[in-house]
Amino acid sequence: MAEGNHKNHSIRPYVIVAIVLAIITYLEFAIIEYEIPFLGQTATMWWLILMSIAKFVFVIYYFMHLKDDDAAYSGFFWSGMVIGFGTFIAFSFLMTAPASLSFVRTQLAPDGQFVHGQHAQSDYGHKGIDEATMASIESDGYSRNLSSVFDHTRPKNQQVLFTPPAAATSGWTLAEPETAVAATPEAAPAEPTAETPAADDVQAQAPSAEWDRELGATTYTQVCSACHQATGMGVPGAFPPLAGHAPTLVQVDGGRTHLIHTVLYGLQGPIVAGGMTYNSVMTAQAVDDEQTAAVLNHILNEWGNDAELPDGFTPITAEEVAAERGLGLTGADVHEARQALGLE
Amino acid sequence: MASQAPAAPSAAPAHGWRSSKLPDIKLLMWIFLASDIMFFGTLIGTYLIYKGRSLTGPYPLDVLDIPLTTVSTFVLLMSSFLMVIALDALRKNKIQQFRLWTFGVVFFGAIFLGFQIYEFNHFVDLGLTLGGNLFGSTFYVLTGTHGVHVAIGILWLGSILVSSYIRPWTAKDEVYLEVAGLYWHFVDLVWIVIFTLVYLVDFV
Ligand code: HEC
Repeated sequence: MAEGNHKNHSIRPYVIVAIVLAIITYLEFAIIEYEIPFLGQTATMWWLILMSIAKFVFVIYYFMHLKDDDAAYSGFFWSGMVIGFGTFIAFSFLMTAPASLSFVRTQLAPDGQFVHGQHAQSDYGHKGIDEATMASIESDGYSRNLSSVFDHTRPKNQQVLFTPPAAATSGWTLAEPETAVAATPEAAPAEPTAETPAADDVQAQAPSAEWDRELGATTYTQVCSACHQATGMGVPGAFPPLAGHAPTLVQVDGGRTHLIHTVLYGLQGPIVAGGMTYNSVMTAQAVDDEQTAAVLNHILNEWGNDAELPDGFTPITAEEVAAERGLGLTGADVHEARQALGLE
Repeated sequence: MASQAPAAPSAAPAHGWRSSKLPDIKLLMWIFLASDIMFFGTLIGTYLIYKGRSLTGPYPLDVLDIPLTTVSTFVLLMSSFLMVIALDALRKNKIQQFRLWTFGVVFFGAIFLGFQIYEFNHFVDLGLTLGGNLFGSTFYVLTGTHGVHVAIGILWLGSILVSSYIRPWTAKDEVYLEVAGLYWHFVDLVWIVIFTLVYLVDFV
């Protein structure tokens, strides 16, 4: 801190560091913007991390003078870094602990029925779900290892599904240009076009003419959303999405019956939904005929699914559901029948 | 009070009860920075752990704008450069230059903040809200906290600038500017990490 030193101190080192920082920032930008073909994903990732470490070190050692300053300052700072990083590591382990699965267990009572708020003992012994399945949920669904923290957030080829906020206060829209109505928040995009078309064209235009929408929505919230989520997106690796997936099931003959069976008898076995493989168990759901019909119509029409329904699709009725009762199927049977339909 | 000090000879050095010859205020700043890095460490950690777990969009790839953020990153880095130049000028008692460069820091900091305000507005238009999905919550909390740090830095350096007209600063005051500078560089450091981990890696 001697005054004399500063008098002749040149700013050249600072200029050089600033130029280096600018160059590194440009390289970081360039490596992303002009995908460098010979660098793989992993290498790109490491380069990015190395470059940011380099910037970090330059700033702290030259601009913050840690290089020449008292070691006590460095000591304090790096201790903070170590503790901060340690917290991050600890936190990661906390989040990957299989304990996060406990909520699934609480939903599955030993008889395979759906139970609310009741802590089922964590025995896997009840029918329908075996250790191996549980383990696969634990390892794929709810846990992540550190490496996957840096994973892609979403495969690039996957379709973006924007779910509008329930209370449409902010009028954002990502609608196709022609649908000008979506620009006003009041024209809640969540409510599909079912109401609008002329009544004389009911068969072709309004697939969802008559079914109990309210019952469908409440049943979904109370029974299905714990697993498939209010958004219909499910939980990657554990519960398949219904948004974008449910309509694909009724595009094949026998799909209607398969949907009814899934709710009445459950489903167990490997399936593909939304481009991802699930090998899990859905238990038989305790819902009556009316509820079953309503909730299935709900999942077929919600989240923009109605756009993908086949032409002339009519809502599932309670009578149809009643006719499928009492067949004594298991989830595995339903899965077998599903494969026979040619579904993935 | 005196009775607490043992009667050992020369226990109290001439300059008082000090165990360190480091300037208190600077030591204080470094300790604060150490705690602040832990604070940001948790926020960044939270962001990373919840990354990719959003059940609905918008997802990072839908909203983040790399060219724009590269420019604002560059602006913040250059403000750090001006900061060291300003400190150097003050040490050499070049008061006019010190004022000019300090103004530059405040100005660049304000540009950075402007970018961030624009970005947040734009993201909200795209449907990304604080409560909308996990990405929104973790992203806004992390970058928002950083933005608040930038704003505080601007106020701090701005008040130094103003005070330099009221009470002329000289080389003797360098430690006060240095401490503000340390804070400013730290904010830059955090942004270096955020830029890579929040913005760039998504596009690999
Ligand atoms: C306990 C969690 C759970 C609940 C509650 C639940 N599901 Fe499922 N659901 C699953 C799982 C797990 C699968 C995937 C099964 C597999 O991998 O074979 C699934 C699959 C499905 C499928 C896809 C069938 C296919 O062939 O692709 C549909 C449709 C479905 N569920 C509808 C519903 C409806 C409607 C409800 C509410 C009445 C509901 N689910 C409640 C866990 C659940």
